[in-house]
Amino acid sequence: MNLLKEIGKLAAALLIQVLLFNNLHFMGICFPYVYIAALICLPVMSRPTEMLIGFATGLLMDMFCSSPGMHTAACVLITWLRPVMLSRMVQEYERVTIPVSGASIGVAPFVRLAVTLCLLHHAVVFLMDDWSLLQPGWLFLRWTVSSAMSLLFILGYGLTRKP
Amino acid sequence: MQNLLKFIQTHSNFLLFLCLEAIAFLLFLSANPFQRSSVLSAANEAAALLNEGADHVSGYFYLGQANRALAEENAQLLAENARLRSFAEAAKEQDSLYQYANLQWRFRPAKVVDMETRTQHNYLVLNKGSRDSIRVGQGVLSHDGVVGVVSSVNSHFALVIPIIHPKMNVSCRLLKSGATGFLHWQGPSSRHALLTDVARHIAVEEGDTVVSSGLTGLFPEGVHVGVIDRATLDDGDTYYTLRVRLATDFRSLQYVQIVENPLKAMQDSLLYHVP
Repeated sequence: MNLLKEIGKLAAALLIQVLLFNNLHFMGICFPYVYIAALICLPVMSRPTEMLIGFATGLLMDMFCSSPGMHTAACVLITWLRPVMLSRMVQEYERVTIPVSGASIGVAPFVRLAVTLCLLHHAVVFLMDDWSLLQPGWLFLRWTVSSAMSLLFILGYGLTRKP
Repeated sequence: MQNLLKFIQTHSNFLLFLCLEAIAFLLFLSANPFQRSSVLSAANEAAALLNEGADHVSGYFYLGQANRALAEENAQLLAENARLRSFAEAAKEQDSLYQYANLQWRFRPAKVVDMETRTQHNYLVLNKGSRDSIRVGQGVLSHDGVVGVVSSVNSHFALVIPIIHPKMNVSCRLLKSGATGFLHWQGPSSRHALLTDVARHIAVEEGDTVVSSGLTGLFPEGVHVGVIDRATLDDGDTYYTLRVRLATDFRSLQYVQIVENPLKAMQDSLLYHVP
């Protein structure tokens, strides 16, 4: 039942991303990908399950964006890394069966987790999209601005949730 | 097998991660021609680099073959050189006899397969024999200078008596003065021999070059034999005692050229008519 609820949340996140945020292109610089909030805030499950959820989410996102592989690779990366980071930051993190949020694991760890994973995800997406590194400054600008924008929403979502 | 299963079990999460990333990348590359071509060209480059490295290493295994090829080429070039030189001579002399000169001196490369250079019965064995038109009495040269004379052949091998053998003597000439003499060897050093029969009125200095005289038709004229490194002349002597440092280092000899002089028989046949 819990899993179904999470899948529903992921679907909602994807819909919001695709219908709303994908159309928010600010001067060709800002491409916020807020759907990863749903992945960052997933409750702790077995690692393969988390990775498969990330894989499926990324795949769906790629279908909507017609960018095969980019989001899949980025999402698999962050869902693989999330348990690693959690285990370092939170004692007995396996017990956190409720969704990960500021309230459940503490504000500081959540911010660190969200910032790291968001930056990584965006780095993978932008690097694969750009690929050539001909304009590294431009790439860096897009990466940081988009990450900042995404983080605004992700932190807003994660820190305001009640345990 | 047990270990492999254990490995998969302990690293299952990472392996799953790698699998999923690989799928993502395959999707990515299959849909993006530019990225695909750049990845493929990078892979090609890496493969080329690897091949080059392998080629570099395997090159060492073919050094023997390369050496042989070079020796063959050397022989051809030497023959060509001798032929052209004889043409030049012929042009100088304007004599029809010199048409024969281009028949003189054929070179055949061979490898030293066995040798003894530290006794009084020194010898070399070469890997060419009568099958390769090697005959008894043909001269043997190395890159550095005169080596010896073929003394016996069978179908595949030739026995060479080197100039560092007590029974050998080679007619030589001092390059500077033009005086001729005979090269003998009594041992023990394989690097030195004696030059005799140089009369006392001839000016000889240490450091003078000794070359083959070409008189007996064994070797072409002017092949390096060695350098005088000690010249002694006592008061009562008619002839010098000259020690020659040999040009050929027999210890490190590997490839030689066998010289054939097709006109030698013709030259020698006249000797029967000496009264």
